[in-house]
Amino acid sequence: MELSNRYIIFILTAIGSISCIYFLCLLPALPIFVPVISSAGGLYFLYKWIVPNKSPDIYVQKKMTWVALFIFTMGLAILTKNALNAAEKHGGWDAWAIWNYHAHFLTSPQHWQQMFKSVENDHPDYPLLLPGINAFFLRLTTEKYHLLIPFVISIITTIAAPVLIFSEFVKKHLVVASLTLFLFAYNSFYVEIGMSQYADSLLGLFFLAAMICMDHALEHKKYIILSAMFLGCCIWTKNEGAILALIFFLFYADRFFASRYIKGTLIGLAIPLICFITFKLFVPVSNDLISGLGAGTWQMITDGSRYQIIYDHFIENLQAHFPYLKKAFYAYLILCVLRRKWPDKQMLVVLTCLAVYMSIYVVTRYTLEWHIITSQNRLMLQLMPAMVYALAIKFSKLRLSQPEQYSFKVV
Amino acid sequence: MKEGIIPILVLLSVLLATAMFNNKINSQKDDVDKMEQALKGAKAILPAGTNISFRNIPVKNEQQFWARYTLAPCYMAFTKHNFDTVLTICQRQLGDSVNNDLTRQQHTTLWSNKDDQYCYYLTTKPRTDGTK
Repeated sequence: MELSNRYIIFILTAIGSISCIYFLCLLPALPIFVPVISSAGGLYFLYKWIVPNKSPDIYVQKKMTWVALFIFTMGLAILTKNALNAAEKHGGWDAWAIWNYHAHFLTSPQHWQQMFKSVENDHPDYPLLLPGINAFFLRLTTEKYHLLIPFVISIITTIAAPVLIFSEFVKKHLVVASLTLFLFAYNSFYVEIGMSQYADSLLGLFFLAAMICMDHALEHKKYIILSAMFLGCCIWTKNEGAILALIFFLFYADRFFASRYIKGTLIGLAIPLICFITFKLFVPVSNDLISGLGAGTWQMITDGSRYQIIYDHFIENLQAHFPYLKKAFYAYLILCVLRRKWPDKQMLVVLTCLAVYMSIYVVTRYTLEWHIITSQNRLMLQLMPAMVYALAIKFSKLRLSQPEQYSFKVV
Repeated sequence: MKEGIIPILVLLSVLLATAMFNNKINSQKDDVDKMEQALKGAKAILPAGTNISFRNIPVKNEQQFWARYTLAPCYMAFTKHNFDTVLTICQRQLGDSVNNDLTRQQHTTLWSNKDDQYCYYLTTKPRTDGTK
């Protein structure tokens, strides 16, 4: 893996680890210096483990051109400028109504469980990765800087996904790498949701990171651990992250649960999963979608008009927010047909996640139209980074998942 | 060497954007700021973790979200619970009648405030067990 991506991966593990450590220290109401010292120690270990070692990949050993660096600088500048323009002082509606509101509770070790009472127009069952990391830094800073904390987390999230993909492909196919970077930079919906201080972009980023780490699994065993850890972070970020993680584990079960890797998988997954399970034991309310399943569910499943409504809105959202992605996907399919090949595993994972996401709407207990309008575009956004990555793999004519085409000698 | 520049550029852009965002928000005032400013006094006297009921005499729906966001980690119930401590927000022109109404109901006013649009009252209900 590229050095720059190892840094980004380190930052993402830092976000996940700090949130988990903070939450675990919150349970026995430990003073703030405990999570601070534990996090500092954890980050030092993670840095030493993730960043330094050299990759055997021959592409990584190639030098990056000045043209590539210039393109990257331009893309990053545009992305940052657009992100800054999109950022609102207190974030979007869900930021002050849910995510940052929960973070305020988590700043109080004695009273954070008051949050569970808040069931009116709120979702106290939402996992706490994002509120946890925000609360940790809120406690370390004065009130003057409180609005900067969620902003910094959101801009890191918004920038990290395109940088990860760009760095993955910059030495393999500069045109593809550049196109992906500018696609993100100019996608106003991606930037707007990324800067809204919601958890959707963070979930999408963890999912992408899990996928990229998996594609480097043969390079070093640690990438299996990291991939499992990022899937754990998906679960700890949003409830639907559990769906993404489950599908990913099923597709890559041969690697995750191979006798050589199973210990690493469990190590990577353990801490975020412990946080998630402990949290769910505390939460007195169950997930609104699961609790809504009941007698009328079968009737919903057999109602054809619901599928039509979901499909119509899906196409509408695709056209409104991801028009280039739609065209790129058709080109991808044509490429598959011409080459007489099935879509890559990464693409199949993304499409399965998309299909499962859409099927949730079939059995929703809410008014279907309202539920779709308020969330479908964000669910699609969660899968956007992984989808762009899967497309880039095809267009750069590399298939990292097939061992005979690895570009490095496995040591 | 150039590979190492990417994380440095990312770091620089995050730092620069944060500094610019800080400038941007310092010169901006939005509705959440207005609520924070209005409830500053109430927040100072409410211990963390207090349970509060919220009365919204017809003001826009978002007010209740901004109020609970501002006062967290106190818990604010909209309709679900009926706590002793009540935060009432009403439009400024209704301020006197709402205040009279609260007095008639024997509420004790802990704190009140006004801004150019709204009146804010933090009150406690009389105890039903006869104690003070």
